[in-house]
Amino acid sequence: MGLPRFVLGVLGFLSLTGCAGPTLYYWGQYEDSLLVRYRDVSAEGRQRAFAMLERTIAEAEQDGRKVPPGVCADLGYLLYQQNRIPDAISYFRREANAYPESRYLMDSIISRLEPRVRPPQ
Amino acid sequence: MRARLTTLIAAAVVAAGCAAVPKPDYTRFFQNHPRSILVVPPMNNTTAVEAPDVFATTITAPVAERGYYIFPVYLVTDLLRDLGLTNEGLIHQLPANRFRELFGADAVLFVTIKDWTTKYVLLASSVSVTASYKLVDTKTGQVLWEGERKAVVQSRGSNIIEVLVSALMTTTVDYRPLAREANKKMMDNPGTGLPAGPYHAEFQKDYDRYSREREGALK
Repeated sequence: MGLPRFVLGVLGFLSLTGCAGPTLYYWGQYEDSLLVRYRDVSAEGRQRAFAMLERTIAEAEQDGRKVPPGVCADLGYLLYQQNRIPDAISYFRREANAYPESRYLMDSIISRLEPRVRPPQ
Repeated sequence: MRARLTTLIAAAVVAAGCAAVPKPDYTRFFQNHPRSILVVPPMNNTTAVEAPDVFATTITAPVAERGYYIFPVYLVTDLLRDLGLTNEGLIHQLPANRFRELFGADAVLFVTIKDWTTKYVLLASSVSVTASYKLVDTKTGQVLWEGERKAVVQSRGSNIIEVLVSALMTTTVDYRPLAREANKKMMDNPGTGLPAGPYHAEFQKDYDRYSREREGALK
């Protein structure tokens, strides 16, 4: 953490808090979870993003704040990438229930995943 | 000392935010008021390879905080890639109704990054980000709202030069505060920004703030 990063960090803090009222959502580490995946496309990057998103959702729930649009879907996608299909589906459902605007996309993703979790006949 | 430098830089950013912007026409916007916005991967008109990805991390919050459902940007990028759409130029050329068919989005936001620069010169140094934004209705293909915003951090004086030069040696510049500032100026600005969306308490109550007639009447 060099001094310039410190300066830009403080600046970022000021620009976020200086004129902003209360926010609609709790953002936690959502932006960092995106950056870490863009910068590190390996499984390790995804693992770090996963931990950040889980924590963001847990902290939002603890504080009684709203989880932002896209966060549950994004966590669902990371679960899908870990091949945890039933867990992925439950987060895609959660996104669709919280934000009906996402239902069209979530339903189309879920309908493609569901055949994978049915027991073989 | 640190506090003073920071104050100076913050003041420079605040001052840059005051430039007058012509008032857009919101007639079409209110005729097709979207509930959901899909942000596709930004076009990059700069030589900074990382710019689109870093920018993309900053776009969700300002759109969501205006009250819109915004589709998860990372998932969207991967879904487009699965469809063979890896080229931003191609994505930005697609007919808007494709984004309705693929994602169920009411509107699609196209961002082009026009500047993403750090300049180290003898007496002044600066970091700047400029982006243009175009929101297109996926039913009609009409442009609902568009604009361009710039955010700059400028510094003068030898102390800051030392600071910025040492930055060059030790670490990379974090552009995210600048990208956030440009986004905030574009979205969160009564009269020129994004009118409140369905998750905002002001939804459909703030139309007069975005109407040209109203502004004319007040003069």
